Amino acid sequence: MIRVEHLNFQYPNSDRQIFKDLSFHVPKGEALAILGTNGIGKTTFVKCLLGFLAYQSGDIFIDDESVKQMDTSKYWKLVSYVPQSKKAAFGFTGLEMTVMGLSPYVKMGRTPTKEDYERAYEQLRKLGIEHLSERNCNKMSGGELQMVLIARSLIKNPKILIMDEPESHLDLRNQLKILNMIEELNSRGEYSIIINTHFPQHAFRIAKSTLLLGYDGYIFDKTEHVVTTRNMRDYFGINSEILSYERAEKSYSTILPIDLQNSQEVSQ
Amino acid sequence: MVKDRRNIQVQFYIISSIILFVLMVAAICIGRYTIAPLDVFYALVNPDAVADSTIPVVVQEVRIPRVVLAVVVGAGIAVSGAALQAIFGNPLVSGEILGVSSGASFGAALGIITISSTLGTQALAVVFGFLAMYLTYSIAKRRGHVTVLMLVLAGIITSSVFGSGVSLLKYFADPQNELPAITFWLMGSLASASTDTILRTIPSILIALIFIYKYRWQLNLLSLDEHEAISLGINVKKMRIMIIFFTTVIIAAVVSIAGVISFVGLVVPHFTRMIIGTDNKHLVPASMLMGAIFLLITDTLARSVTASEIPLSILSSLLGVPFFIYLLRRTGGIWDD
Repeated sequence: MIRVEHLNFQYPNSDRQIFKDLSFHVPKGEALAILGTNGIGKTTFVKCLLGFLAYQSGDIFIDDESVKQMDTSKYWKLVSYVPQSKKAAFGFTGLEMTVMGLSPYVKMGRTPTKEDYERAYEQLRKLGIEHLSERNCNKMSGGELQMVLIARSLIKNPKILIMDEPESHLDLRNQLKILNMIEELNSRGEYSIIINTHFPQHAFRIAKSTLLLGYDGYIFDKTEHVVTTRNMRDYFGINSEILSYERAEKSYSTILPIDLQNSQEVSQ
Repeated sequence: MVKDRRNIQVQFYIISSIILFVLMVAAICIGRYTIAPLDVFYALVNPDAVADSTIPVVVQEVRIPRVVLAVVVGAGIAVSGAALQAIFGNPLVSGEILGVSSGASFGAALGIITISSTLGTQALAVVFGFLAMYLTYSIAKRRGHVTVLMLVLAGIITSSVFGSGVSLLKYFADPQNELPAITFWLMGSLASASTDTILRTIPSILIALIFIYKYRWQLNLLSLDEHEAISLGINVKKMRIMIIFFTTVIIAAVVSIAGVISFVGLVVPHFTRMIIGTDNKHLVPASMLMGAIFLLITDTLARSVTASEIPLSILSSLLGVPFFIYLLRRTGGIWDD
């Protein structure tokens, strides 16, 4: 479980406070979606969460232990970061990429053992992508590479998974694959997952709670209370409808963007 | 699939080790004074049994030091290239392109003129090698990011700064002794090889090689995006500084004994990558073997093709450039494999 308390952040040479007194928590076995317009500070927030940027005040707790008191090697055993899939300078194979996830357990100046490689293969098999183990990561599709990066993040059995727009550059089928994967991870009940996303409908699907970032504050609540037509208007400046659909006793909600809020004002 | 790859790796190590050994024996035999392989064996085991008494002397004091130096220097430059390519996450990088060789040359030239001790010259080469690396990196770094283009351009700037420095030193050098010494040494040569130079310079290269070899798997992590590498749990800053330190030690040590040897650091890791893959766990030891083989062939040609020695850099460029052109054309400058 991860708990964030009264976080404040501002870039050194800027007047704008990116977020102010931000608090939320994500219990084990749940996912949190972070929504907000471009440039609102979603990525900045993820960077703060991961310690790449230093926040001015506030604290983050993992299982009630403050990360400030935690040494970095312990922190990176608990927390996994899944970056957006993009090509690297060198094309490692899927297996080589996955085994890198065990780095916190490989002592400096050592190489992974045979068992580590077997574990990496097993991790790929669990996600149903063992056929990627010998493929060059730079020759994979965006969806395949994203799956390998998820395998790399899971191999160390972390408690917290932080994903930066894992589905944003993918086609519909690959988006669904990633979403199903996250649902499956949720159902295991072992991780607290935080996902940065551009799609409110994905928040409906996978995230019990949502953090909506805005210029003058934020909302943190259950997803159905956050992703509402009113909030879409206030935070995204769009008019929209929430649609629900039931199939095989499961209900799906999505958001239908209708038009820009001010374009309607003009037409009226 | 996994088995296939492992087989390729095992085959590679066995075959290239055999090739290296055969080449070393051949290189000891070849020269202006050809020696039979059997005489080489006797010269080492029982020198008194060799009919011609000059043979043991040539083998022990001339050929073997030279061959050992070629092997260690070749392995050193190739690994320094592979390591720099990893930490800058950039396959177009080498000590030469980053201007480190230039900086080290300036330091060594300064050493030749001001202090004539080998150790002092080496130390100056290391100091200016670092300075060059620092200069290149600071010029290239913009808002915390270093792009390929900026790094290569900054390397050109650094190289020309220290290049002018070397020219200035040559201008003021004594034309009788110092000037020819600097000029010839700058073109690269292992002619200074002797038991003495080996004992004084090889240890620093070997120590640096051992360290890079030990941390070779971590090089994989360093080649990724910086935040990604941090999130995988390694101390990126510390590792980078350490790797830069050891590669600079290698480059500077090589420059101070053998001058600038072009293209080996850039081309050998690429060639090796095409055979064995990108994983530095194998790339580093494989580059050592390939670098040693490449430089041994080049140096043996350099000293035996004509009556007087051909400077190493001329040959290594002639051999390396066509291959680099082929790589560039084939890949369009983007390396995927």
